Amino acid sequence: MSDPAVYSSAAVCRIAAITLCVSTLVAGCMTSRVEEIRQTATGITAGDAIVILTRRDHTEIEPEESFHGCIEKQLSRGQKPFDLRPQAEFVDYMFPWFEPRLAPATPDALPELLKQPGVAEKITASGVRYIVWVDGTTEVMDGGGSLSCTAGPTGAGCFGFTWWDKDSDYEASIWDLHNLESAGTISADVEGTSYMPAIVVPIPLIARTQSVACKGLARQIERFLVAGQ
Amino acid sequence: MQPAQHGTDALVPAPSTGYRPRLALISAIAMALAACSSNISVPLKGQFPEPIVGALPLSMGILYQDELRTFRHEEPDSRLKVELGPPNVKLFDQIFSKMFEQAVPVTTQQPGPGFDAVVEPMIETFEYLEPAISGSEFYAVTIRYRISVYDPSGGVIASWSLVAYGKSRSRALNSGQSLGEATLRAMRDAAAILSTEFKDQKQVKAWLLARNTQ
Repeated sequence: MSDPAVYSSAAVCRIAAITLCVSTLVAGCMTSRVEEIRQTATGITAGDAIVILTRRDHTEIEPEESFHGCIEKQLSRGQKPFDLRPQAEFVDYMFPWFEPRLAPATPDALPELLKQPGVAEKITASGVRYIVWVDGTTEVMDGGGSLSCTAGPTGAGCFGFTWWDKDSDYEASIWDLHNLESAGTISADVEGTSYMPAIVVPIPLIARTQSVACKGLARQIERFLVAGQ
Repeated sequence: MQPAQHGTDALVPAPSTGYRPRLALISAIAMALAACSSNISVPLKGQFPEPIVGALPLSMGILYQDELRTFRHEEPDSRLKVELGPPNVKLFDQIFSKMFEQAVPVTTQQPGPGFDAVVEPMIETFEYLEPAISGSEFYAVTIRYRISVYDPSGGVIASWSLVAYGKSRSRALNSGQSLGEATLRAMRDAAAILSTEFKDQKQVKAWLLARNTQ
């Protein structure tokens, strides 16, 4: 393999600035699909709070903290922000009933949970009307290409081309604690390919699949809860 | 910022605008290497929540042996040290105070009259799996506890093994924090199992039935 081109530090900085501008304007290709299944009517009244919980069972698939944070951020802003209870606070408040081992897996388990001493009273006192269970993750599915970089006393440079596919597949199950039933399910599946060509400086053209999935899912959760009134 | 006073001065030419990025890079690499060569104490901080469970009408002695109080996990070929004793005592104090009407610390398995029984938690093993070995994105921790219940004269009522599990996503350059979180989650898992399943444990259930205490 031939050596990559070597440029001075100043030249690299100039090229980096240009490529940063280009890469912020150009992103990788993505396809996005958001689907909703409604099972019951929903509605939010004053005093109804929501908690977004990530499924943390003992498997390898677990939503990232950044994804959970993004959903909470999206739902807590806007013209009519929801009254959101922070996940950690709620799980501590209800301890141990929402720990991974004991958390209800389906809405059918809610009546049994509420029979436990003190649980129904605590849920009522919390004001939480809806639990939104978020499950899923972002995975790199495929990739290829090669990219090599070198650095010397007078500068550095890279040459090559790489690409990778990412799949962000998430599902939100919305449970109504007043009626002890599932209100519906929303899923967001975003696939995208990121590219990184490098001629002296790598130019990352990133497909932000997780961010798109978060915004799509949060928007649909908001519509689901509000429009169902 | 002043140029470095020692170490890197000998390696880097006289400071100029063009060399500053390289100086910063060398410093960052040196700091990273220094961090890699030292031991990491896994942080196990934080308050444990009170469990929502109905208290059993029992006056229980709570016995922590020194093996539990000072339990520490340290592998010879690893930089990570995990001090499990003190946080586990804190955790058990919290849950036992809610599980029983009276929970009183004792120093022996035979505390005598005034107690219905004595409960003694112990840590048998602590194991963790690093992402580099498992190939997953998570640190996984398994803690095996032994829970023993004695009558006031020291006879064994029940003794069983409790296996708790916790995992936490790996963080770049912060393996200690990830392992600490996974350990705390395993401890919470233990608290969840113990606080909800204690009275359903076969031998304990039989003992409670015999006492007419449910």
